[in-house]
Amino acid sequence: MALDLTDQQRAVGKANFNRTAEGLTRRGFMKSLVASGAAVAVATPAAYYGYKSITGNPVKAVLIGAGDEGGVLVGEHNPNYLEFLAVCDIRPSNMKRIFDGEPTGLRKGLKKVYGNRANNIKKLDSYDAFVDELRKNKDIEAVVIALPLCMHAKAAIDAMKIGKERGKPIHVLTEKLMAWNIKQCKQMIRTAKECGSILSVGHQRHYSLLYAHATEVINAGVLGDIRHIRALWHRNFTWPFDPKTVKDKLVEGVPQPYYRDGWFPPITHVDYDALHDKTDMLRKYGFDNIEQLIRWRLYQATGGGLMAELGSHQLDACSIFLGHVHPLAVSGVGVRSFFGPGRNDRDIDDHVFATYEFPGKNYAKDKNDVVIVTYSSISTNGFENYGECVMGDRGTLIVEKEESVMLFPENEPGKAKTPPRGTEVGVSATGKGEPVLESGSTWGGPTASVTGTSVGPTGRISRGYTEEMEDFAYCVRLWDPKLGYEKDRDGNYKQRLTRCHGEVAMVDAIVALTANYAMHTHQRVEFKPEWFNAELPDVPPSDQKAKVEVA
Amino acid sequence: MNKLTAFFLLLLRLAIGWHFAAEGYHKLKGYWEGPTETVVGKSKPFSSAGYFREGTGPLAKYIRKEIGDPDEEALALLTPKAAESPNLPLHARTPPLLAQEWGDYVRRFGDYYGFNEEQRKKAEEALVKVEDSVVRWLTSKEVTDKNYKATTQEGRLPTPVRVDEYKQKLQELSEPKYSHLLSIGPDAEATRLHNVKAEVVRLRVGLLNDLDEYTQALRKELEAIATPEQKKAAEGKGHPPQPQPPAEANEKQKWIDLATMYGLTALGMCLIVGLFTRLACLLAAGFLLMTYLCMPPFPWLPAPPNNEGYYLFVNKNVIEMLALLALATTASGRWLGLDALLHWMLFGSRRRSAASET
Repeated sequence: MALDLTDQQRAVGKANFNRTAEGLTRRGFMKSLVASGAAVAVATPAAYYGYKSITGNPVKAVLIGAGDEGGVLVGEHNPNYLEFLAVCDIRPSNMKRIFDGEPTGLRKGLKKVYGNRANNIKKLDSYDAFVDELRKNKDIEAVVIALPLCMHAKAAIDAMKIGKERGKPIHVLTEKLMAWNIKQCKQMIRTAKECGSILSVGHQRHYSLLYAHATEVINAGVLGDIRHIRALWHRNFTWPFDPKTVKDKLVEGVPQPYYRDGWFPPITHVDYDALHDKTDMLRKYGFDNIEQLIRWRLYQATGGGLMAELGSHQLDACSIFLGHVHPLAVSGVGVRSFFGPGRNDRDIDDHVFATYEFPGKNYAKDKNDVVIVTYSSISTNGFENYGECVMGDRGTLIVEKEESVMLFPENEPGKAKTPPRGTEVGVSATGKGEPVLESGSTWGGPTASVTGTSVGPTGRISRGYTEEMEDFAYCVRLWDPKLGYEKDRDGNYKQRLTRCHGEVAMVDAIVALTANYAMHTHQRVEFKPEWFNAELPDVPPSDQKAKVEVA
Repeated sequence: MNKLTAFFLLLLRLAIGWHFAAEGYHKLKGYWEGPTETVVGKSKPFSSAGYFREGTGPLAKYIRKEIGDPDEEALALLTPKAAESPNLPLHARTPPLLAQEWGDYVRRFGDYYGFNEEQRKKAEEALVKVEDSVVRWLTSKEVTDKNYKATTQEGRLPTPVRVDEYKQKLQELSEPKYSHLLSIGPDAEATRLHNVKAEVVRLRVGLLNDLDEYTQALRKELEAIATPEQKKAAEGKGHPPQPQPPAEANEKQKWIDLATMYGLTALGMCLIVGLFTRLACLLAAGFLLMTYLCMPPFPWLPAPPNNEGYYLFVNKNVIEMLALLALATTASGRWLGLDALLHWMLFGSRRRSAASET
């Protein structure tokens, strides 16, 4: 984002954000930092999101889907909250990696996390074995789903139903996107209510302190009126693939990568030999063949394309920045202009550009008050870092790579001493007591790093996975199945649910999938309020018949 | 005996038993789990190595001789052989212990990957190359070797200067200044020694870390010699060999650790259920005496790290030990415990049968 910033300007931007957050906290506009005298106490993620250590044993869970994302969840979970009793995956290479982990990065592997206790974790090599285990093992309290998108609904609904049958609910944390179409999302929500299970979806930005702080700064109004947000996630997958980088022998006779592309991994004998002749079984779960299973992100029938995989997270963040509002309409252009036959061919677009119209603060009174959010995700250039740039008439806030936030003021004509990018700002109050950004040379002195509050014990910035799973486990421990989804007089659920429960996550699915529809049909699509209501059967026109139907 | 006295003595036994069992079980659990690494942090199985390494008392000194004194070992690794003749090649002056460790490592590495003659020759050449550079690093009066990054602040000083300072601090530590003790008082002397001790550890760790750069360089050289086929073939064989200190010391260390973990748990359980109570009391007291002698609160010794409170000659270990000895004089296990059952089986029944005979 903001590609022409120098290192120095970045430093100024980050310091501006920290100073502003601190100032807002002192003035009572933010809850995240607790000021007591001169000392600034920094909140832990747990305290911020209102959960505590769980009482009793960790929640016993099964992980189904042990691929790239499953590996991240295993590496990032806190075994004091959530303990995996079993892992299910039909790909032998995934099963091996989920235990052994990777030498660097987030995927530590079960062996590292659990030590010798990892030997007790059960390996389930088929979906049937998974269902069987849920039926037999009454200790299991939760299921974590990191399967290909087309399988989310089936796995979630089967698990919740088994929980109801056996008289002890099974709670579900599924990876995003929530489901392949909105009908399935609504089915999942209904099933959760019928079975008395918690249904949570892994949009981890809901648990990122960085985003929480950014949202609070925006809510305090220091950016002024926001009319535009630019969000993007650009990657470059055009470099030639080198087979020597793969340890195992590649299978001949199936398309192998032509470009280096994380979504088009090579197919090795480990998986191919085990699965290529089991097409009937794969079909049952929505995959035409083993290629589609391994590269499910590239097919409309099994995945949701760039909008679902990357865009949904960022649009989610944008709607939070704008005050948890639903978009009004979307239009866009999506093309598959780069990849093709023999060259990492795919079903989905490789360049997508979507334009959303969101309601502004005064939209109820003035229908012209619209915020434009543009989103782009491309596959042939990675120059800009991914992130979101929020543009208000008094300032700009940039969130980059889920790990840094920068804040820059708009300079008032006649007052500016330095160009905005070099201007240091802090917060002062207007006569009405509203906070405003003010530049000045008196802001000196070190600032307590707000972004530092999301730094975990290992010194890295938490993207929210750990907290998302901790809070899920915390909610499971508090959950009273008898009370279920009862609402109080104000229409709020009586029991604590996770920050991204089914009804929240369905919005992200609608936003992402409707954009796909608008691009494919070359039209501007207006969002209808009924789509967002889980109780009503209405679904967007993007909904097509799913390959994996749920009873 | 007053009933209340007996009651509190029983409570005392249970409390001490619980303390031992909990400590032992905690260590055992870590041992069974093995090393783990989660988002919350890393944990390693219990080892008493650090305890004895940093122990200041007479017993720690003795045990260090058995399991290897880290300072002696560090000095052995950092002291190059004297230059007997000016023509002697650099690598011939490699510290003997280091040469032995590395030589052993190169041999194990070759065995693991199944090196052929040519590869073994290459490995020897790599060893000589790294030995040359390490001797240069150990002897040069200026910082010449820029190939390896210096990891500590002292890294900017020539190595011989750093080793000399390390030796000097060690010397300071081994000779408590009794004159200081008398003139400026035990507190000030204890603080000074505490600081010297910390300094010694810092210098040692810094030097060994820098030395490790060379060991890692050797590892990289060796890995470059192994062919991809050999690496693939070796995949199933478990972890590739690591450079490590002689195995013998590790064995003793392992034995001490196991004895500590199981011993603590067993003694604790015995005290709780009242089985072989007197013996358990004595053994547990013996264990505490040992910990006392490893880190005694003598004013002329540096205080151990993480020490809460202030102790002079008597610390909590001594008190717990004395409590155990006092318990050993009572028949506490027969008041409440399996010893009563045991006693009844061994003696009770005989007495009864004697009674029935008359």
